[in-house]
Amino acid sequence: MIEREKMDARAWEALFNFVFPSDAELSPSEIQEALRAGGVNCKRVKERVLAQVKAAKEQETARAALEVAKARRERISAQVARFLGLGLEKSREELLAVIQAKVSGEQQVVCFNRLEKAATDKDLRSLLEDLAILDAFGEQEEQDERSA
Amino acid sequence: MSVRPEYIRIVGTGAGERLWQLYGFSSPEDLVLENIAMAMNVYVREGDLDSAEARLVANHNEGVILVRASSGESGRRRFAIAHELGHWVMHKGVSQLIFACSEGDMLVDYRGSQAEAEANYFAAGLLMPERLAKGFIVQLYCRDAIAEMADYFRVSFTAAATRFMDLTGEYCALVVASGGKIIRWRGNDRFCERFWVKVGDPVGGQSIAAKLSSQRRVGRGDVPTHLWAVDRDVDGGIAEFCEESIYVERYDQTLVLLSAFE
Repeated sequence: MIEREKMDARAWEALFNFVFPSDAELSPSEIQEALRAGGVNCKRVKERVLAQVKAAKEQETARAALEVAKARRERISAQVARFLGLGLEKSREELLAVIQAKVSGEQQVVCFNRLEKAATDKDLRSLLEDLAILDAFGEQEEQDERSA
Repeated sequence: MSVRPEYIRIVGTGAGERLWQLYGFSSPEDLVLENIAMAMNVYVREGDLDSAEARLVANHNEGVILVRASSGESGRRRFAIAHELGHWVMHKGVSQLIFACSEGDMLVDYRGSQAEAEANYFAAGLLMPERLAKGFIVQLYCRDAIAEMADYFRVSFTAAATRFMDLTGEYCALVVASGGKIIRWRGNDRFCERFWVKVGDPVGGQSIAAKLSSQRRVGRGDVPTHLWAVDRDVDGGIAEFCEESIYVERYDQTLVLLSAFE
């Protein structure tokens, strides 16, 4: 690792010129020569700086996405109330029939059958709510994409 | 083909910890699980759930996590959300629609179901990244350190103890007892290589745990290893465990921490 105190001002300047060549006043070979003289492994330093820049950009994008997600969550939460209490009037058999109709594919059915044995009527009702929210969620996403 | 245990742990915790890097979090306060989940297209809500702690219902693009409304302490709730998020992140390729996870599933390590273990390691990495958790590791009598860890990371004592065990290099196990019997346990690799605790065995009358009640809820002391575990090492060398027990009235359970070093 390069220690800061070991690098003089000229080496630092050469390093920045090397990483950001558009601002360079020296030619690339002159920069590399100055850095080599300062004991700097140019290739490694460039890779590390660029990796840090990339990570910082990714972080900025991710944080922005998190803010968007926060607002989106609030929008969905406002709509969730309309799905609560779904299936209150349904018997266990009716609940199972509705849920099973929504569950397709071999693997899902296996999983559902396993769940069915342990689930109480309350669990099945909340599952019905979740499936309805999931559907609405997909529609909301399509709407968001269209308006974007 | 069997997967190497350390691979399950490294991949699981690594996937959870990666989110700290991605979002540039620096402390547990930054970690709003509901928003992180939403950024991954997963909506988190509370509701009726009797047969599980939490449940993930998902299709290929979106998911809904339901946490039991009566889940109680926030640490338990946070772990349940992080666990289901682990299923979403790590098992997205599986076209399974529903994961309903019990309290027992949240304690599984690589010796149990691989999918549950992966989700647990993901949750541990997300809620307690190694870089920060390592600062809490002590050699023996770890209860206070674990309690501080639980407080700092806003997780349950059990979740903190489990992470502690995975990070310490010493013999360490967490045993849960109820109604005078051992109902479950989990040890770190070092402990399990040498000791074995039998589920269903009665709690030894000479143990610290046996002396606890709603009047006296915590206790610690050195106890013979045979009170809690079978020692596979015939040559011995470790005669006693440091036992630290806590009676949790709310769940009518006693949490027993066993530690030892050579």
